[in-house]
Amino acid sequence: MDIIQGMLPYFVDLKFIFFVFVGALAGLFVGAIPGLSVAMATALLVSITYTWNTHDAMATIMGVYVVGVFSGALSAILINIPGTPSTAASTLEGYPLTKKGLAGQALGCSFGSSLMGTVLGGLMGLIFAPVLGHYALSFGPPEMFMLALFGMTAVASLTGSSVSRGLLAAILGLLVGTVGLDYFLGVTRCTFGVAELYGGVPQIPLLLGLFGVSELYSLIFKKSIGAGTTTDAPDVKSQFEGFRAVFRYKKAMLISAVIGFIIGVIPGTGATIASFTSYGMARSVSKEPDKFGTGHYEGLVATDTANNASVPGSIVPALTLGIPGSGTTVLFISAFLMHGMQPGPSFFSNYLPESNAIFITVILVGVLASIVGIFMAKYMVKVVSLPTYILGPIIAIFCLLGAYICRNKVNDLFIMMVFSILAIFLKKYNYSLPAFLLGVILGPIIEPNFFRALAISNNDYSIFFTRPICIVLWLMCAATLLMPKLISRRTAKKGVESK
Amino acid sequence: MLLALFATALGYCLIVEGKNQQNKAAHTGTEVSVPAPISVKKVASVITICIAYYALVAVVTFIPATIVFLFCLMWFMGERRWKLLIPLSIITPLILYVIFAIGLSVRLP
Repeated sequence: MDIIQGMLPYFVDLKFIFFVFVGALAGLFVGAIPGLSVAMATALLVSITYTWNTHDAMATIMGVYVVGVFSGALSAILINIPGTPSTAASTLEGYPLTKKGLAGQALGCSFGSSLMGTVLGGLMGLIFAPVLGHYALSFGPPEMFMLALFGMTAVASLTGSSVSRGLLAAILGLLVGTVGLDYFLGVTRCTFGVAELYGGVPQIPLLLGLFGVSELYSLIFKKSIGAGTTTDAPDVKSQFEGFRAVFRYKKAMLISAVIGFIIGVIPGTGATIASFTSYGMARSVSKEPDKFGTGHYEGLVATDTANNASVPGSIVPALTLGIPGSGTTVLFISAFLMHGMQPGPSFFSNYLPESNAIFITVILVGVLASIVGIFMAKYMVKVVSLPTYILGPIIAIFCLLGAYICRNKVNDLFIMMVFSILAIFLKKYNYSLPAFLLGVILGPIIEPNFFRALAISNNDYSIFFTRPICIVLWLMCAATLLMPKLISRRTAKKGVESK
Repeated sequence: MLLALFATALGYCLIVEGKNQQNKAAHTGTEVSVPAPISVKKVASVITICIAYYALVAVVTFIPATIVFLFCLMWFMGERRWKLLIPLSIITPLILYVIFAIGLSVRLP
C-alpha cells in the first residue's frame, strides 16, 4: 500500500513525466542504431544533466538506460544486427519472423514483452531493494571492502574474454583511481603537476573517452551500419497484433521476468546473459519446443521480457551495496555521485524517495516507450541506416560537449582523448572496459575501507577472514572467479558428448 | 605494493594461458587467434583531427571550430558531395548552439 501511495505523485507530475519522455525518446533512437552504445548515451547524459535537479536528471538518464535495451531489439528483428549486445538473443526468433513477412507483429511482440519486463522488474525492485538495503546497513569497513572486491571480481570475471584479463583491467582501473590526493597521508599521487588531477581523474571525461570517442574509431571503418539490408516500415495495426500475442505466453513471460531480474541482481552478468538464459528456459518448459528458432513468438517473449527485467535488477545492488550489476550501471553510480548521493548500504535510509522514484521511473519508461515505440517504429527504421560520416562527427561533438560542460576546463578534453586511446588497446586485446571503469570507481571505496578496517583491528589482517559476512563474500568471490572456467569445461564436455 | 603483486601474478597467469593455448593449437593443428589488425594510419588521423578540434575550440570558440571539424571529419570519412558537406557543417553547430547554449543554458567553449 505504501508503495502505491509513493508511486502516485510521480504518475501525476507532468514535469517528471516530460523528462522521462525525453529520455525514453532519446533512448529509442540511441538503442535502435547499432554502434551507438547505451553506455555512451548514458555517459553523455550524466554530464549534460550535471546541473539539473536530481529528480529530472535521474528521470532522463533512466529513460535512456531502460529504453536503450528496449529499442535495441528493433534492428535485431529487422536487419539481424542487434542495436545493443543485450538484444542479441532477440535475433533468434525476431529475424526469422521478419523473414516470414511478420516484421510488424515481431516488433509489437518485442515492445509488449519489453513493457512487461520493465513493469514486472520495476515492481520486484520496489519490493526487494529496501529489504536488501536494510541488511546492508549492518556492513562495516571490512565488509564494504570485501563487497567492493566482490563486485570487481564479478564484473572482471564475467564481462571479459578471460578472468586474468578482466582482473588486470580492474587493477589498471584501481591504479587510475589512486591518482590524486591521498586521503590518509595528504600527499598527491601520479598527478604530474597537473592541477586538474589533484581531485582524481575526472570521471566524465574518462567515461566519454572509454565509451564515446572510442566508438568513433570503430565507426570510421564502416560506411553505414545497416548497409546491405532492406527495411520496410512496419504498420501500427500489425504491431498491435504482435503486442496481443505476448499475453498468449504468460508462463514464459513470468518465468523470464523472474530469471531476468535475478540475473540482473548478480554483479557483472546483465541483460545479455539474462536473455539467453531465459530463452533456453522458455524452450525447455514450452509445449512447442520444435518451433523455437523458426520465428516463434514464445521465444521472443522470453528474450525481450528477460533483458528488460534485468535492468531494474541491475540497479538493486548498485543502490543498496554500491556495486553495479552491469557495465552500464557503473555509469549510473557515477551519476549519483555527481549529484552528491553516495550509493551504498545507507542509501535507502538517506534517499528513500529518490530510490523509489528510480523504480517508478523504470515502470513509467516501460509504459511510455512501448506506446511511443509502436508509433515511432517507422521513423526509427530510417535512423538504423544513418551513414557513419554523419554519426561519427556527431559523436565527437557530443563527447566534447559532455566532457567540457561539467567543469568548463579544456584540459578535460585531452584527458578524454587519453582514455579513448587507452580504450583502443583495451578493446583490441580483449580487456574488459566495464572492469577497468569499475576499478576506477571502486578505488575510492576500496582504499579507505581497507585502511579503516586495518585501523579498527590494529593492523591485524585476520579481520577480513573472521567476520561472517566477509567469509561469505570471500566464497562468492571464489565462485565468480571459478564460474567461467566451470561453464566452459561443461560446455566442452557437452560438445564432446553430442559429437 | 599489493596491486603490483596482484598484477604480476595475473601477468604470469596470462603468459601460462597463452602457452596453454599455443600447446593446444599445436596438438589440434589450429591457429592461435590473434587480435585483428586495425589501420593505425586511419585511427591516428582521426585522433589527430579530434585533438586539433579540441585545441582549436579553446582558441576560436565552439561554432567556427565545429564547422571546420565537421567538414574535415566528414571529408576524411569519405563524403565528397559539396552540397551535403557545406550545409551540414554549418547548420549542425548552429542547431547545437541553440539547443545547448540558449535552450539549456550550458556554457560552451
